[in-house]
Amino acid sequence: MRRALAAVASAVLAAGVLAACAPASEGPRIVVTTNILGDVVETLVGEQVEVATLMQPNADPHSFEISARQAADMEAADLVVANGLGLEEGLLQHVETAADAGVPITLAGDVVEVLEYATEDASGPDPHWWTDPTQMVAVVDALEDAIAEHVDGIDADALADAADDYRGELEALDADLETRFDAIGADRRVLVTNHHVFGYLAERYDFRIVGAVIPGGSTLAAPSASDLDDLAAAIEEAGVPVIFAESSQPDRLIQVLAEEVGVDVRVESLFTESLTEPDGGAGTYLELMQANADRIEAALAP
Amino acid sequence: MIPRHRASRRAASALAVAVPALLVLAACTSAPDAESDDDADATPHGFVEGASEHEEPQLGLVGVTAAGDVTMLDLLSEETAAVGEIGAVTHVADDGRFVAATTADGIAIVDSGAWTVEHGDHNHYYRAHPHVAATIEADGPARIASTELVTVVLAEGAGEVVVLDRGDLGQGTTTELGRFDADAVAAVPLGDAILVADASGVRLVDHDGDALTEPTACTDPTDAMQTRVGVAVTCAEGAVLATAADAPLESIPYPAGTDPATVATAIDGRPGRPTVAAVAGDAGLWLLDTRERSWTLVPTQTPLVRVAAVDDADEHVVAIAADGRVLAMDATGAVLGATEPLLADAIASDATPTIDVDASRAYVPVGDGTVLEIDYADGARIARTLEVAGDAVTEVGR
Repeated sequence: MRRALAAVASAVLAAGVLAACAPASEGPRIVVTTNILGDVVETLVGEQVEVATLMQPNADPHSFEISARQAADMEAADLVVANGLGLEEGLLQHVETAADAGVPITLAGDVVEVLEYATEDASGPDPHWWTDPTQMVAVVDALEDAIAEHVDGIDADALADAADDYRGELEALDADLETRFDAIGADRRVLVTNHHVFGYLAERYDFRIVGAVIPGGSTLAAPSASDLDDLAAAIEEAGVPVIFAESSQPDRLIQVLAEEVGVDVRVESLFTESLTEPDGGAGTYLELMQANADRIEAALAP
Repeated sequence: MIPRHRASRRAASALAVAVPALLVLAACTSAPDAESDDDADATPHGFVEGASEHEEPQLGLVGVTAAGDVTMLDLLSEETAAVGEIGAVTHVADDGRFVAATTADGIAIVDSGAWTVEHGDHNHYYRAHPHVAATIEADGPARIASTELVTVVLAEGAGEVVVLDRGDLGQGTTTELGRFDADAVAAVPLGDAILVADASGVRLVDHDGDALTEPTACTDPTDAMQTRVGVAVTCAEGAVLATAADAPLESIPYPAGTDPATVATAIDGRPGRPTVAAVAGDAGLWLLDTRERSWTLVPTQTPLVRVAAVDDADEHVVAIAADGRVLAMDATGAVLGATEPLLADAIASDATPTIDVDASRAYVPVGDGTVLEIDYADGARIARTLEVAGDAVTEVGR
């Protein structure tokens, strides 16, 4: 199905003649699914056209749904921008409906270098490409082309300038991350984590990812050493006493690890799939990446 | 205790959305008239109104008393909340989120508001406010099973299958997508289809009960459960496995020479895993690996009355022995630890004990208003003894 959607989008993009006959609309001209892509598109077009981002701050891209009004906006937009690669499950049918209605679709997943994930139970394309900012450069290239082609009346020079500026910021971010992560040292560049989104970051900056199951609240209520053996083994294998984990009770986890298996760790959370509100620490894509880099650097620096 | 069927859950399978082979690209369709769509803004954003996503399973125990009082114990906070009153209850089943309770007025569907969605290499965990979601017209013992899209309730008394929109059900709205007669042992959704097991065998039907496949032989079907691989049905000759709505049904026969007295009549295991377990008469237990398509007989020293496979790295199995002890075992049948015979009274009173297993604990109601929280990886250590007012208790959020 994911492949089918990509094929639809390519076909629509290839047609290329649709913008000319798209009806005028009172609503947003560009509709974007995820808030990470929404931030980037808004940066590119500035105040020129109205951009609607469907995914709210601090939301889950896998499982948000939209209103009938928003679905209608998608079908009336000049351009729809989506992540693809199976990320926005709840929106798939709306993206397909918009494509059927002749709306050009830009899928980030079509232009990034896709990594595959594989577990015992499942495998497929990893949709979390944004943890590598160099992948975002390719997405910006594709967005610049698609906006110029499909959004009527856009100031092409202003768009090109904004895209150049943003590419410059992404390249500076990449260089900064490379320098900072390099300074951590190869033996300490390891993420013990229950996050599943850092495959691209690991590939780009040579991190080792050690998957870990973090005991939940019902386990931590009355734990014994057996509950923590696997996590302790993962920490030992990593050689770095840091867990990058989403835990509802990080302090309790730290305490229990120390009591039951004698392991002293630091627990750090990272931003993953959603921007926050503007003052939440990851209000933009660049802030999200910098915030994660700050936390990784602070936790792993020798 | 009120008899109940245990939960089973299936991974969200890819939706079969047909993409038109030829897009009508030349056509200029007019924009939908958004201005006239006055009700659109009333549609809530988000997956489920009031639902929030969490970093870990929002585990809970739903207790249903014979009088119809429904409560939920939060296994994370140990707080208990009253969920509702549904009138006298004669039978309870659950799908890991929704609890179906048979009452004089019909089958009440309680939404625990706690559920897990499998998503490729990771899971998502949700929590919403627990409530009595609906009461559907049907009678008799119920079975309930769901995919992400539909919830199927089998009313065994009436021999009726009711297909409900699961998203709507979560909002407290009953939207019947189909309803048909079936004197079935099991009716379990699988993609766009529903697996039905009855005296004629196992077949896949659509939401109206119309057959999509010929029946596959299954003599005396007894139980069915969703696994990571598909839906498994137990029969006298083995198991029938359905892996997808458009895939042929597969038979997994018992090993040659299997004693008919040992065939499985009920299977149970951890949601989202391929291997389930069954009591094998007095001989021990069966492990049915739906990924390997194999049955393995595991002899045990003690006859068992109930067993559930954890299917973790150490292949733990949790069992209740006929003498009333809860056993933590491995896949060879070795007993790694046991409780005192705490369920002896319950077994003597002819109640059927239940076991709910998750990734770290098993929950075994004792029948006196308490539930044992068993650490199966630590020799059946009783981690907590939890108080739940319920003649049937079921774990949700797994």
